[in-house]
Amino acid sequence: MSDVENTVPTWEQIVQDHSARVFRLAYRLTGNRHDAEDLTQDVFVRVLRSLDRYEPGNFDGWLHRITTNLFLDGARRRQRIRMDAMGDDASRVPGSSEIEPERGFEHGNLDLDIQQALDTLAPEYRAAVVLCDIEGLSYEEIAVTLGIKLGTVRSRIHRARAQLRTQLAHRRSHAGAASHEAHP
Amino acid sequence: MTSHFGAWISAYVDGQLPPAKAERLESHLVVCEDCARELSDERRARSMLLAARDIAPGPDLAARILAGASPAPPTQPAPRRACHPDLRPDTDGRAFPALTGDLRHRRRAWRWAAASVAVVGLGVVGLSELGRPPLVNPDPERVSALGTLGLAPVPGVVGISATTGSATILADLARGGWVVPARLPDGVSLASHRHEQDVLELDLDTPAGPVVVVERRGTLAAELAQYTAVSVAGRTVYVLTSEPWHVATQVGDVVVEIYAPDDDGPALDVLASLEDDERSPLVARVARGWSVLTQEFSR
Repeated sequence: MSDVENTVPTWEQIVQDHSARVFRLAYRLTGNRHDAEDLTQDVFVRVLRSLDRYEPGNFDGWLHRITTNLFLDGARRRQRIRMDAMGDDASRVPGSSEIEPERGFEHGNLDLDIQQALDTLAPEYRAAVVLCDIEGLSYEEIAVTLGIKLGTVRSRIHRARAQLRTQLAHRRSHAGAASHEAHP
Repeated sequence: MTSHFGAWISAYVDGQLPPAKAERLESHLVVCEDCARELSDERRARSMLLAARDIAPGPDLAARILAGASPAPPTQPAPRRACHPDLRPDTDGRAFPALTGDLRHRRRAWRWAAASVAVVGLGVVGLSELGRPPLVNPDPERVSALGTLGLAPVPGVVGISATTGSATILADLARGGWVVPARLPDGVSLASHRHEQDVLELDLDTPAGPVVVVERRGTLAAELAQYTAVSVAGRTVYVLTSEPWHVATQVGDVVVEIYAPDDDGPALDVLASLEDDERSPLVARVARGWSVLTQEFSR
């Protein structure tokens, strides 16, 4: 029995055991399956490179940190490129990527609205609210994961939820108007 | 208006508010319609997100990850932390383009030089050339800095105790040509250290959290010039990320990187306390050349 407990998991086991969870977080952060799978693969490349430094402890926390920070780094890089490309119009760029209409089929009806609303949040806000509400992390854990102060976690979650509410209300009123027009 | 609870309402909904603060908020909710509405909106937003939980990857994702990233077969025993690819000058990671190309080329030159010098006798000039420091290009990614800090051993946690005799350890390292604090700043203790031929890592425990000092023999790559430079204790220090605080600077023939949660007191004190190797650059290079040569022969 102690042999079983002391067995160090193989790389294959680590990937099998954790890839679905990393993907779930990656999906909520990136908003689509393709980017989420790319991010998940990047995370495991990074995990493999750093595995010799890992000391037994909170493996999930480590994965959260790598996933979220790789996502944020990528988002910042993309935003910089877009800002350079747009010049003076850059200030009008919303916090995140535009929503691609064809993504709709990936989501259930309920999920479609929520994911699209999440996608409109700035990446930093999205990361905080996803770690809190979807991953169930405490504010302290989020602060450590994102390398920010507790007060910043609180205000990001607060503002993220306020924006989500506005977005969802906006979407539903639009959907209502559209269906009204379609069926006068 | 200032008495409204704002973002504290989120913390309350998430059960993250200290009891005393939660009580104050509850009594406020009785008399404040705005905050009561905010609370109910906040709860609604939270429950919507909670409803969006499950999403499964494609069935072949794990297989694709394994196909794209699998451990290389072991070639030689590797020390635990100091051998991390980000810390090794010969890494082939994409964050090190200048380092990878230059270093490989130079290592071949070293081998050639090692053979020649062995034939014509060990000349000071040859050894000096052999010991020319490699380029060091620190990983500027925030995730790396977070990882380094996250893995720093903290005394009192999971069986790690503070190192005793840190003054002796630091003195030994200084004799080995490393850049170490003349004296640890007040409240700072050495939690652990690891060192290999070309890499040293000091894990310090400070009142403001862990501070990790990573040193590599070499010269800072020119790419660092794109980062903000600040002056600390008369040294030019490049700030790679500010949160966490990850900086790099050149001290003698050593590149020193410091990782800390932020740039409050202790991290700056540690940086200011670092003392240069007093040997002249030529002596250091000859010593290093000798060490390179002996290693080539021992292989």
